[in-house]
Amino acid sequence: MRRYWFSSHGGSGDRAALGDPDEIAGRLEQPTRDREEVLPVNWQDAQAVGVARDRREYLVLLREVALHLVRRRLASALGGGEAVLLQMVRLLDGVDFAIALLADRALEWHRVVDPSFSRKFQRAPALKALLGIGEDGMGDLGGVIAMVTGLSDLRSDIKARVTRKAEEIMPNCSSLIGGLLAAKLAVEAGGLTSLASLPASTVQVLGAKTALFSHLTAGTPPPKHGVLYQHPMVRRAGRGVRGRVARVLAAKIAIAARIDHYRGELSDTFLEGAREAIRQAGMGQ
Amino acid sequence: MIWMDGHLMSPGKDSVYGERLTVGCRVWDPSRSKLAALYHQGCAPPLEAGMKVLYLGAAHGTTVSHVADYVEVVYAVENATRPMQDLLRVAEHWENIIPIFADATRPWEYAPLVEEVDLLYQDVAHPDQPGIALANLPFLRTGGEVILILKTRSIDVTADPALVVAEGKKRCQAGGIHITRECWVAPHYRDHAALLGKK
Repeated sequence: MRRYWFSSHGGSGDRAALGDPDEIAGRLEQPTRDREEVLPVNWQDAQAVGVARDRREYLVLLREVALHLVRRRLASALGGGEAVLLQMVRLLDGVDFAIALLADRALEWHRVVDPSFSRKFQRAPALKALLGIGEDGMGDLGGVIAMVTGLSDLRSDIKARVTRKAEEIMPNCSSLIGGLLAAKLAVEAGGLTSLASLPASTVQVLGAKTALFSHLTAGTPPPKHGVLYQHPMVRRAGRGVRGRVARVLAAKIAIAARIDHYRGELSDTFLEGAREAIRQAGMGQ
Repeated sequence: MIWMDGHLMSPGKDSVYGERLTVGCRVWDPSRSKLAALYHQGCAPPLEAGMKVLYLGAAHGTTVSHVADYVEVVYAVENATRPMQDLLRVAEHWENIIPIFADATRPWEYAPLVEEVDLLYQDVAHPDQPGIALANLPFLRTGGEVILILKTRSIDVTADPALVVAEGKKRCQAGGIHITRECWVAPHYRDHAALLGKK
């Protein structure tokens, strides 16, 4: 069947019945998903049914409709909060990187300013060590410390937003592993849709790209976990069971992501069973 | 086609992406547009006023805007969000660009918008580029021109580009495109070939 933008149901329609360009675009917004024979539009048909008087008018109207259609599809592609969530996680990574870099550099500077300073036995991360130095009387270094403090406030703010947003968009995953980690997995997968279509074994090693490919090419041992290592259950598990915990966790996340994507609501029965299975995986060394 | 001192131009008054202007013309830079590079090599069929063009892989709309300066109407298909945002700005500026946010591997989704065209230009990064050209062939009138930019590395990074081109050429010919000419898009692009033909 020949389908036209100006008569999506194949029937005839005059200009007034069509509505304005945005209404026409609204009817076209959902494209036909089924494979069909490809038949180009014949513009004279639009003239015949009274949609346009001449070719010029036809093109003007078509362009208006196309522009509205693109705006609508862009809005729905970017809407729904998913695109925003992914960008927020990427920004969070950027802020983390900046904090680590600045704190490290500032400490190196402080080492020169204060000859008796040593980090060797303090075992503190750079940011903490830097904040321990204090701001007063540090001259130029004080400004850097203030900046890093500001950045770390910004970081906790973004982190809270990411967690809240993830709980809203991926309720089951967030309930299982926390919003931040769920969002990081979604970023590694390239979106919630992609995460929901990945096998559990891939979810398990998301974020361990280097280790995975060195396993595939050079035959090093395969990675047990990627981003999932950040989950306390995995990190605290004994060396002997860590792989098992990561595997079970990944299996449950893969299911949770599918529920999030296709159903979009919290499933208590699933979560209960999943938590129990993960707990069991961590038992026994 | 308009040439000035060895530079390819297109009629237009405003600079949209930072291209240089002369009196009533915009410079069409071969290092930024594969189609311009083809014209510099004397490979591609000329654009004429009154032509209808289906442009697959419109990206940010740089080349599309120059094509639109010459022809009657360009149907510009692009599937990625970020470039589409830029293309939308270009399409708002040009009265003869019809932007389409769709996947070129699924031509039936935009068939209700596109009419029969005189030129099919394709520049997409996809493993099955000949397949996309063939799927979109119904939009081209009999005797219409095809310009297919083959990104050989998108088809197979490991294979020899020349073999990939030969394979693509064979598939196009089997599918009803009579390839009349093939050339490498040089010197600004690596491993990009152009297949030129007619339906």
